[in-house]
Amino acid sequence: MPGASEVTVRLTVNGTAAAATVPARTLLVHFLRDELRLTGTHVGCDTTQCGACTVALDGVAVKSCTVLAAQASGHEITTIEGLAEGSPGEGRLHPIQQAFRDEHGLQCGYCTPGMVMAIRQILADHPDPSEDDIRHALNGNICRCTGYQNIVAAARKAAVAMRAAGQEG
Amino acid sequence: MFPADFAYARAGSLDDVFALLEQARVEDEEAKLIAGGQSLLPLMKLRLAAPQVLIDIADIADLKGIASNHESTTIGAATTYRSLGQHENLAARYPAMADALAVLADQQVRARGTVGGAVAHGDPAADLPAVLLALDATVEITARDGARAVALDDFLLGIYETDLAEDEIVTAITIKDQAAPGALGSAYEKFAHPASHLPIAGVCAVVSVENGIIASAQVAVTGISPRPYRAGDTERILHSEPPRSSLIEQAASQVATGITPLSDHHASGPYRLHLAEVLTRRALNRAIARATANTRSL
Amino acid sequence: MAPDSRPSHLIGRPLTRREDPALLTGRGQYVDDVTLPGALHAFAVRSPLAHAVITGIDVDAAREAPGVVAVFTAADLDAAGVGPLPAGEGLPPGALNPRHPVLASDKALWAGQPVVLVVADTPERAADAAEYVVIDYDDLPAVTGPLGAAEDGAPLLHADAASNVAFRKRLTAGDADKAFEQAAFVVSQRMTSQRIAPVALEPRGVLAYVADDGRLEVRLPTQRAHGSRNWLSTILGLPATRIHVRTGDVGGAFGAKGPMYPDQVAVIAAARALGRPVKWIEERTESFTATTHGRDQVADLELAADANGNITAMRGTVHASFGAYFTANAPGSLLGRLGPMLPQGYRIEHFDVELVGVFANTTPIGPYRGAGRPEGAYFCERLVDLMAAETGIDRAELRRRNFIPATDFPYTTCTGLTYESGDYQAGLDLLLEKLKVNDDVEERARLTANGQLFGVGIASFVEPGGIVPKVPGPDGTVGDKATVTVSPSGKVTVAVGTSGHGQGHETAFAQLTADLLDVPYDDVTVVFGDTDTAPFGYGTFGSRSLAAGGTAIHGACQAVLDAARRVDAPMSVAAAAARLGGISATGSSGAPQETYASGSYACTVSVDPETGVVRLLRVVAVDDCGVVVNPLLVVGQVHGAVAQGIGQALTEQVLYDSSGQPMAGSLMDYAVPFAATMPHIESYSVVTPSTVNPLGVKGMGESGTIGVTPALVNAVMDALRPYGIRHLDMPLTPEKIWTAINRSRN
Repeated sequence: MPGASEVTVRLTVNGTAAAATVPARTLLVHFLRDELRLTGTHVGCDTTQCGACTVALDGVAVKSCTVLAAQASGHEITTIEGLAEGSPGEGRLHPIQQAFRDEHGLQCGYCTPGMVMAIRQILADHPDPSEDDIRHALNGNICRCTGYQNIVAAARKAAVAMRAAGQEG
Repeated sequence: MFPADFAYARAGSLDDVFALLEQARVEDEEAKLIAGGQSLLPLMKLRLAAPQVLIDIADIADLKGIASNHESTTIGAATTYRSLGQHENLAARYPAMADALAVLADQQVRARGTVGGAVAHGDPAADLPAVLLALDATVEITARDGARAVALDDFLLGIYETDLAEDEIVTAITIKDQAAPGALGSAYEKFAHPASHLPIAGVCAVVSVENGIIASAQVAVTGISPRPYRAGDTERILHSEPPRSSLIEQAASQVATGITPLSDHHASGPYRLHLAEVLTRRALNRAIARATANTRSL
Repeated sequence: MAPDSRPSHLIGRPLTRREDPALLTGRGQYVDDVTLPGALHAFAVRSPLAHAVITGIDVDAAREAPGVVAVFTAADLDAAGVGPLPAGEGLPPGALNPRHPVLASDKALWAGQPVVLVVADTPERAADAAEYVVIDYDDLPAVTGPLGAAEDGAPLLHADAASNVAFRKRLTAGDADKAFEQAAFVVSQRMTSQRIAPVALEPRGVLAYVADDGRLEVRLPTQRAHGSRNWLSTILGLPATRIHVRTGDVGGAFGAKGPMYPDQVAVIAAARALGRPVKWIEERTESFTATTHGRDQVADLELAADANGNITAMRGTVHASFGAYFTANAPGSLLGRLGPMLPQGYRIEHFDVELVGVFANTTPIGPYRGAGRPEGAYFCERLVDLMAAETGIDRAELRRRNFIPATDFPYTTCTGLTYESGDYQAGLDLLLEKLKVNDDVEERARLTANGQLFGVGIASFVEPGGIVPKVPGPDGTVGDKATVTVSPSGKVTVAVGTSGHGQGHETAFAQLTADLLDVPYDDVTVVFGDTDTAPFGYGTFGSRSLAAGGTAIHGACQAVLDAARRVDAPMSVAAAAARLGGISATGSSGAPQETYASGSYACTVSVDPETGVVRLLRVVAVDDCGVVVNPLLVVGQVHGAVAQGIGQALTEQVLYDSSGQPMAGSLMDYAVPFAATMPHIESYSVVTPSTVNPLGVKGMGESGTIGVTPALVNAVMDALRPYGIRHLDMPLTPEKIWTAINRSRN
């Protein structure tokens, strides 16, 4: 049989090197949650719809439920746990996280890590997004609690804050 | 949620790919190529597909990059939708492509999904193939013993069915510069399913307008039939005619002649046919408007 | 009881939530985040058929599969004395109340009913092994809708039952038949509130193990920690004190994490049998058949009015499907909510409605945001709009004319419910004012010039909340409890028997307590969701937590204040606690009647006649939830509920084919609203304090689903007026609208 049914995955997660040998079929989201105990990234569906599993791979937002850990080997991952650290400004929260708090952009919190990571991408691509831009770009993320209104408000607030701080993500 | 077990191999070159495919064939194992995996992995997670071997082709240099010259643009099969969208030249020349990329899946999936995957998967409801079809794209295919080029129109055969053999790999998609005279305009219109965001119907129109006459028209439809197709009747009606609204309506009304539409609980056949007509009219109007704007800017 | 009138400085303030920092940084602790050494993982094998005789279950091959530790069938659970699941509650005498087995053994009654539980060392291997389970089914004809299931000759689900009709209950007042005979105007309509799925982002799950002290530890994302413990006590034959239920963080529930489910019970039983921790996490596609659905009623109702447009009577029948089995609280949604609330906020004197509960080969129905109230409000408000068209009276005027006047409270409805306070006219007036003030006349002109149809719809509603079930707790009394403890250092802990899952209770209850005790907000910690640390309560559902939990907290705080006063007066609670070495007191919600919130909602829409696509332009919401503790949280609840109400109106539906096969199998089929679906929601409030609790609060977590759904449907029907289309059932998909427009043209 070509290939291996177990793979040694080596990647950098939130700036720290990590490695583990796992079955080839291990999804990146399960690798992060089960091997590295980074449980902030969530699983909300099984058809790549809900976006609760969104992380950044080489700086770009992807759905970690639809990436094999094996595919991610050799790459850099940023999860919600890695967002607050290293961000400039006061407090431990990234501007997007702070904006979510200010605007009541979360209720049960389950979609939130994925939402925050998705908005990070939206703002990286559109530093000055319109409300329409944000709503359309969030079509890969589902929230069932908030009706999205405060999430959009948080995204807009974060955009302003990040532009003011000259921040890119 | 969990794919069945498989063996994973990462190919560093096309030679690696052929060697791995051959090894799988000899051991009577089903092997699949994976680039972005945004079509394949969802199927595997639902156990609708269970290949025993996955060959990761995302790292292969020969599959990357977009090369443009005066005659054509060649898009490496491993080009992600995201990278494609960032190529300013293509977006400017073929705004239909920008239209499609703006409504295709979502930002996360576009960061991983590839153009090669879009073509090789044979999905009846896919946005980009409609645009590529309307642009007369060619699929570059390589096997161990040589390469061939197939018109996309000949490559797409049916629902998840393409002309790709088990020992072949799609290496690039080539779009020849549109030969017709006049100013070029294109547009993609989509009616998306509210849950999956797949096109229940999608229409791409590519027109060139010269001296107030439609010099060429290419119209491709996706989502309503087993494979995306070119609407020949519509194109013939438009050719060499001034773009009056009655002409557009007439042309749009023929966009699905002879097509037996898909019908399911998402959308019935008659509704899909109707959508195709409406979207054709809208795509043509926008494409013509863009062509006209290009004329003025010349 | 008059609302507490002492000055407060935190109640009413939009404090941001203290829950947020942990959740925002990925430090939530949902059930799947918890891991234990040696934990096993379960996978449920479910019937693929809607109705079948099970002729054989062969688990031998599965038992031998790699990583498998055990495979459980109904026989195993029976031998261990496990089961059945809780029966339906609050049923009329003579009702069918079939025994609901944990795992199916002789019949499968719905596609998704669990038959076998596989337990293995990894979730992947449990899923792999499931493919080796062989179950033989003899297919039977299936019935999926409430009307079909009630018919003579329908396939019968339950043994010893002559029909699928579980009960008929008739609510009557006055003489409806006479009122209809004498009516100047009568409107009659069949309306469906279609079956929909709650789709909380966190799938269900459970982690169970036997602790060293022999107690059963259950990590269960539930809305009812104590209730679940009590149910498990009965199901497993264990004293409740030997069971510890903890909810941890819960990723949304909307009613669907209230019932006790067969898959969870099987997993808990497995953990006991194996003496090892067992975890089970539902897959999303699995949830579409395994988790309870909401709604699924067909109403044939008519309204009678006199020559002046006064509504005199309502009459008809509501058929409600309960799926294959009752869940404990499902009958209450129909019998205690939908039926009695049909008159809404109107003075209707004559009433004759029969409620028919039926079983069908579909997933069991459970409470889903609104639980009977959205359905009742929808049926009533559609009829009121039809009556407006029939009488020629303006839709708002007709409502205003028939509202219970603000001076008539407390008001007892023809169905025997007493609304304690309300001012429906004020709500409607505010709504119309806001609708007009922000009316974009230019945009409307642009739309209509472009061939788009424009529509406006309104709906008013009254919503019961704050229910305290008449079920005594361990101390023999009825009521949610709260314990307030002040440490000698002045730190306050509030433990309460409600169980928030995203609503912001930690913040709101801390605000409340800080004000009541006059202590710093940051000195208050709120605890709930753990049967060891939270006193008995009924949990969180039905918009009850602030009324019931808040009242209990109020009572406990009063007792703490009394204790401080007995030391000396004036004396701060902190100082008294220091003096006494700590103060602790418990309060109870008691068993007050329910509170009655209300509201009026409006939607404006454009409809593209070419495609049938509905575009939501505006949603304007006026809610009266009594005294507001935290307006930020209140508005958040409105937004979320409105989104779900829009989902029901426009895109959501659980569909079955004629053989009972579910067709909404995943989020690829089942369309919940996305950000781009939603317009900006304008939210306003009117306040009529409740008189049945000391805080003056009413529930409102579900109001959005109740108000927006009929307002939106009324708006779309308004847009379609030029085509003479009288009524369309939800969801108002583009194809449905386009087809109706086409038909009307031909």
